[in-house]
Amino acid sequence: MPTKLLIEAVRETMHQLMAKDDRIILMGEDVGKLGGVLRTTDGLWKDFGDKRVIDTPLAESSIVGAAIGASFNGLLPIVEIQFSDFIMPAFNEIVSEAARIRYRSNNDWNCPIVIRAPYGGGIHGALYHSQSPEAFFAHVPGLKVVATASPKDLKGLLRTAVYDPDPVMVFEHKKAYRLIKEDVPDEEYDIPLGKAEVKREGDSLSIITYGIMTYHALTAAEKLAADDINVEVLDLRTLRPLDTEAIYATVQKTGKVLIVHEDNLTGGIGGEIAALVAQHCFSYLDGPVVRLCGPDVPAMGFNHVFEGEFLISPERIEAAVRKLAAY
Amino acid sequence: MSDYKQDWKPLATPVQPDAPDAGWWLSIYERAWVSRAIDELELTKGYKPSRENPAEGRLKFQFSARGHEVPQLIAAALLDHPHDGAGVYYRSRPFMLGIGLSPFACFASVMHKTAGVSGGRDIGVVFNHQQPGGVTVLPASGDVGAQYTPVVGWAQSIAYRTSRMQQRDWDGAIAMALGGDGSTATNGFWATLNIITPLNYPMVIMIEDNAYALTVPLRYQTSGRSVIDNLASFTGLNITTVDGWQPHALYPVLRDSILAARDNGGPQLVHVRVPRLTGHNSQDSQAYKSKQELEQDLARDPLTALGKYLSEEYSVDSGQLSDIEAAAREQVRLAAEAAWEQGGEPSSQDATSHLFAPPAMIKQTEPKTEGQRVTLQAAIGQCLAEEMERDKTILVFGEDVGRSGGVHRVTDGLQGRFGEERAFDTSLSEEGIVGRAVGMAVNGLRPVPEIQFRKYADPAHEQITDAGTLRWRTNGHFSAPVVLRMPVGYQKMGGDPWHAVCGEAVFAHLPGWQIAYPSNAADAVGLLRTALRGDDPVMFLEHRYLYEHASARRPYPGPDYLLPFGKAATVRPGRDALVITWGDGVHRAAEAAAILAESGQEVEILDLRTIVPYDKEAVLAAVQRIGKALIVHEDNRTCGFGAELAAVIVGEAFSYLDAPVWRVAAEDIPVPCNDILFEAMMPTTRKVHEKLVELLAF
Repeated sequence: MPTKLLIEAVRETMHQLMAKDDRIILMGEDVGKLGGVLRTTDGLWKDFGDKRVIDTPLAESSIVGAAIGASFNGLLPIVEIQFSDFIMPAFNEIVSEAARIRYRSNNDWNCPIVIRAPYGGGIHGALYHSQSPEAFFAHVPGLKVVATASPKDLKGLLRTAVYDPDPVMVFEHKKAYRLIKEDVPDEEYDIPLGKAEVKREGDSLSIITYGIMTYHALTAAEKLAADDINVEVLDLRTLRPLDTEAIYATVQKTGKVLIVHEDNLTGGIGGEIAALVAQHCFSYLDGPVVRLCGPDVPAMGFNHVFEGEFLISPERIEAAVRKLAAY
Repeated sequence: MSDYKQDWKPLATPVQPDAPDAGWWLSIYERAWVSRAIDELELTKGYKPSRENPAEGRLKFQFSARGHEVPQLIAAALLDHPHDGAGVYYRSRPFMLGIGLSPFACFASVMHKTAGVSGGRDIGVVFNHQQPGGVTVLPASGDVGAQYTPVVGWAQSIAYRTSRMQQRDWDGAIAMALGGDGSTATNGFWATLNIITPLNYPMVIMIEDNAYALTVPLRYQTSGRSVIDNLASFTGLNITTVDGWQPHALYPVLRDSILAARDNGGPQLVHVRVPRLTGHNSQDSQAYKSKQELEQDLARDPLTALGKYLSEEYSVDSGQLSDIEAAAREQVRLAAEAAWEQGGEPSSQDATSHLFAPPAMIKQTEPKTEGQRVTLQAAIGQCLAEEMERDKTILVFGEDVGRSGGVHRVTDGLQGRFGEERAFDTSLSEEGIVGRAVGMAVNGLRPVPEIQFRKYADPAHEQITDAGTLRWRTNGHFSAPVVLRMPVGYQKMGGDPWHAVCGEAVFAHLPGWQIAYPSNAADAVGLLRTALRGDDPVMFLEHRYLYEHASARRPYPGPDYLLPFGKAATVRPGRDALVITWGDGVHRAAEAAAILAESGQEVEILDLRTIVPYDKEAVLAAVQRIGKALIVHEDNRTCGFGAELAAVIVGEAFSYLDAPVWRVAAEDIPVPCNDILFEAMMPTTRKVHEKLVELLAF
């Protein structure tokens, strides 16, 4: 099985899907001739032409709005937001229009769009190229939200997202684009939305996380195994709907939970997970539910000291696990 | 402070009516070369960003302004009024050099040093600047087009200070926005045109048209040759187009536009065509441009053209021009070395500083508890009127808030009492409302915009986000104390998807905003008054059902009543179970608790009153004392603020819990209109009661 970087998985999955289905179009800033500022769409314009790979004006609300209309018409638009930080001008189109059309039309309309956005930090992107805005969307009824750094998962999740009848946000960790490499099957496959995956089994403590933090958690887990702390790592993959079954299963198994995400602590998805655990697994808990998350500042600063202070490293995960394991 | 490490002064001198002399042009030429030399040095070995090996270069990114220098510097030299304000974007470094930002500070910024404009927080070309007696550069945004509407707020502030406050030192000041052609596609640009033209604000927009938005050419951006040509029929906007490589034409166009704006000539748009000599950033090689295009760009280099103009028209000899170039390169080299060595590194503790102003010493006063009970709506209106009387810088505005007194009647009578300049109707663009409020707040006024219904804040999400991060991203140099009022929730007729949204959780996740969510008239007055005297942006959420409902009425607490943020109220003491809630939830919980009290079960109710900051201490203390907690809120359950509270409780009071932490919240659907569906969605008294029964029995 070939190993692929996340960025290759993104590009090749779109290519594979577009080659088979003319309804799929791709829209965004610089996605065409250039192939995307992060090279995620490289080659697509050449192979599918500018009617299907569309360079848009620099107005995210228009890009998403146009995609919504195109989806009503029967197309399957994929929108790329150049950096997830730039999604804010499209906020209204996403949360008011795309997310709610099925509900408020009493099921007469649906909006099968995919909004892809590179998120997260660690590339010295500072305030406007490092944010993790996934929790804003995880709060919105009518949206489905994917966040991943795994090339293997991305391929299956993106295919599912494209054919999902409702709007799906796909957050791809941009630091992982050229960092995470995995075996990715050549053939097409689906990974259902709302299904988490246990990336490592263990019985001492559960780490619930997603995106690049999954890999940091796995690194930490390997070190901890030497001291007989056997960490289970649950990669959520989808943040809405949450795989509550998998969350409860791991908590019931280990009794201790560490939630890790790069997004700001307050109001992040970790709050929801902790609340669900507190509500549904209370009698299984052997310790407090701990969150290790980005601090409540706008994003990581440009300076490496600031970036280091914001980012969660395997070492910080390891320390948090040791503390909780000792509870 | 760092800007003055080198002897570096603003270019501006009093504008001469005649053509400038050689000395003036040479100062532009010198500074253009400084900018050019910075861009070029940044792409040399040792500085150049390297994606493969970040340790190789001193820079992580390089954004070049090559080709844009001359028009920006002329504009900077013409901004000679001490109260001029400008909004810039990431290609505005030449302008910054012109208004007084030193090469040392420029380098410190891109090298993410503490001496940089953001203290190492932002990427180094997202500028802000304040200096005594010189141009204020409003905090820029990393989002394209987000610079425009705050500049509108500055222009409006000038108009307000001159006409209403009679501050004569503001006469003749203008606001100027710089932007690229790509940004003309954004909502902010159009919102700006629609505000400044009917109101005739003193504002100049300079669009630097390099024919590309990042890599995408103009034909994908607009029809015809340029969006500016398509604006020709825009009433009230004086548009001039000029080529950046024709200095003799450039100067009079910019001078006349700026002078016209200063002299009540209304909004001006200067469309300057420039070549973009390098890619969007250092990773962009412009491979998408044809050879012919690249050659044409070089042939149109405004800096070369200016050199030629100086030799031909002013007989400056080529030796002098080469000396200027060489001196600029040397000066820039020294500045870069100095910034690298002496720019300073932040400490890790600095990462979280400057999110909010230092806590103000707000002393809670005692509310008057006697007298006629007033509604929440009337109390807020009265408080606004009292504060507007006290503070002439307070302006109230929004859709329909002026003449009609607002669709919720909260601002009824304010326009009649304080005039159209202080209580006014706006165009229907929430981005415009919030963006201009930010510019006004930065200017020193005290804007109190109203978003007509919570749902309609979503189009302004970008400006709201930027307002929250403004203090942090300028390293504490700027703040935007906007008090953004918005009605939330259902009303007595029920709800619907557009007018009954609460949505506090989204705002609570945005760093930098404080959030008040009062449950009664007295708290609302105390919190609003505190908000109006604070230094940070505040969301002031007013529940529509409570506007008139008897349960939220209180005696007016008095004209001096202040209530600090982050102080919860125990509205009902109890020992058997705890409800943590806010807004309308307080009343639903009170009804449920009253039913349970009949059977002798005592439920305590904690009203948070403010969501950011919230009274964590009171929450944890009550949980520790009672051991059973229920959270009630009207926002959707998943990722609602209740999740945050539950997480904190289970994280920090785990060993005190005698039962699971439960939430009664709105179901995860939009607010339905039909009453049966609505009841099914809402956290009604019945649902709160049922859950409390379950919790008490646990």
